[in-house]
Amino acid sequence: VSSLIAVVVVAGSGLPMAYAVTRRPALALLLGPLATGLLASVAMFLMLLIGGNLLFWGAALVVSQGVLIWKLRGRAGSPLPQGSWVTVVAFTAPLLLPFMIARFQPIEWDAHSIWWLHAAYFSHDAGYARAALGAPAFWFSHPDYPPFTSAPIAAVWELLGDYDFRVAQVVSALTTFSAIGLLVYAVRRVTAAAPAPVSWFVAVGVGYVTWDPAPYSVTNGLNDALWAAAFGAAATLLLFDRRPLVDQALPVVLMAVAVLSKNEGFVMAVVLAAIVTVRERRDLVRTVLVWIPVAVGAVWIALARFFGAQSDLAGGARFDALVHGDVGTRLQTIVDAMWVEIGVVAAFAAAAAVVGGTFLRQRRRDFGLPSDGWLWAVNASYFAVLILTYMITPYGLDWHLVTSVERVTILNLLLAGVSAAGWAAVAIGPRGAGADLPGASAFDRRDTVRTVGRRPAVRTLLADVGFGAVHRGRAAGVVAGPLARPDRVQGS
Amino acid sequence: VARPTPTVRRVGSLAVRVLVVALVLLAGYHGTTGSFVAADAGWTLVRASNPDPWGQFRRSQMEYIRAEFYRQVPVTTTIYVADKDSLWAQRLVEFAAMGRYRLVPEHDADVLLYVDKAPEFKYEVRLRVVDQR
Repeated sequence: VSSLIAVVVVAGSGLPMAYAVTRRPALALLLGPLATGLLASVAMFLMLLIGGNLLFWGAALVVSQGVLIWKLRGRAGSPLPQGSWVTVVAFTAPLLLPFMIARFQPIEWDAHSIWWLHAAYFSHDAGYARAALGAPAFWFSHPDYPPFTSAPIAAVWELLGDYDFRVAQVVSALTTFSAIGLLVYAVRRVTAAAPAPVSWFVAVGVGYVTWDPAPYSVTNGLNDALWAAAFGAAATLLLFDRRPLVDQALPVVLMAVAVLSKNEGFVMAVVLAAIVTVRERRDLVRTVLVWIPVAVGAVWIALARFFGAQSDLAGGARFDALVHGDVGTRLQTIVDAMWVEIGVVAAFAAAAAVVGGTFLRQRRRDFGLPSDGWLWAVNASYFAVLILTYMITPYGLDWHLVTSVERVTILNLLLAGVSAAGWAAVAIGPRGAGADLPGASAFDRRDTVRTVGRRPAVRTLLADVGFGAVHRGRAAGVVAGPLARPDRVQGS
Repeated sequence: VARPTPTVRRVGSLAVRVLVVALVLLAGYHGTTGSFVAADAGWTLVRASNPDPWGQFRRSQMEYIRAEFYRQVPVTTTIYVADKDSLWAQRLVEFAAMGRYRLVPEHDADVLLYVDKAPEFKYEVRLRVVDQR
């Protein structure tokens, strides 16, 4: 019964926000748990800053999001593509098969020692939480780790008045499922020009990759899969979508989830935001939004520092290991361990990308898919971040690798998988032999015109997150966008 | 150099497309084994009458120690987790946070906490509270 209540609370609290972001009931339901997690995290910030307890701020935020969205309902928003009930259920249902492993008992070491311990000290009040962040007794649990995983658990525990391990696992599994579902959605959307079964197949395949290196870690209270899937979805929507900066709300929300889940999420959000900014440098105003999650992450870092939370890496990093000692041996050990996890998959995906990039480039353009080079750049950056992290680890290298490498490499696999999914869709081709606008199917029901001209920056940004007043239709001052231009057609 | 005929180009393009799909399928084959392991293990768990007995045992241990902790130690007591076994040391800290206890340095603590292990104890564990007031 407690677990059932937890499911309803976590799925339901963020629904208004999730609906505002997606404008699709089915997608809102999928995004709901992540929206709840974000609300709980912000509630935690407010509790630490101002005082009170998590439940008070959580309730205040849930009510105010509802009011805010009710006020904004008159604004023209556009429903996200590929968000019908049939489409969403079709790509979500297969994820339930590996998800069944959530039946394992809630006894994972890191779940207890990190995320549920944090949830425990966040669940009382501001005073206890502030003291706990700086208390030496808790340092083993990395109090500087961000709060997304723990905050909704703390809120539900507080609500139920019982610290049930199974409830914690259910909340954690639900948010993770939501993130994986949205990754699958992102792939389904960018490959939507392919025949639906092909797009569905590759999208679900990428979702399944989440379970690959460490099946036990996905739904049993850890958050490595959660942040990797959320970040992978954001990267896919921002770098692999035909119109990356229209409707940024969803990728920005997903980036915020990643940033507030893991410290690596913050580092990678900076990388992703920088890459998006460089790529879209001609339209700099629109890139402001992707820096919001970075700012949110910075707020957490500042709060954690202020209350004395210790970071194992920043505190005990051995930068001397980069210049002294057996640098080559350490590097070899790290690369070997990572190769075991990702080598074969990354090699096949990279081979597909090289062959595709060499021979199918025109076909990819006709399909309406941007270059996957940016995704590989993000992937390589993350690889480099991991190597650096292991190089300067304050722990024994072998122990650190054995206990984490299979979980931290999930993102490498997912990004390689997204690239591969794109190439498979391109190779098989757009649906219908005579589809005269390849890729257009991805944006059916959407505006095929894009607003330009001298709109104030704020309104441009509002439009980008889905609150645009002039966003759809044949309003004055709009010109034909990319989709109105007849694209080159394969075979013509 | 003779230019390839349209037929040759079409066959070549088809070969490249088949190659790309094959490479992606190979990547997918290797990249999704974990999900099938998870689905298989999950299905077994869902069907079993007593799923994950070892996990159930460990969970019972934890819940038993937690209940003993709250029964024996009033919430106003300052505590220090003195156990050296990291599994139980970390569990005791976790339970202390859940119960809103104050964790203090060893010499300031009212009580020291340990978990003893022996086959004859209930769930093979026992909470030991050493009063040093």
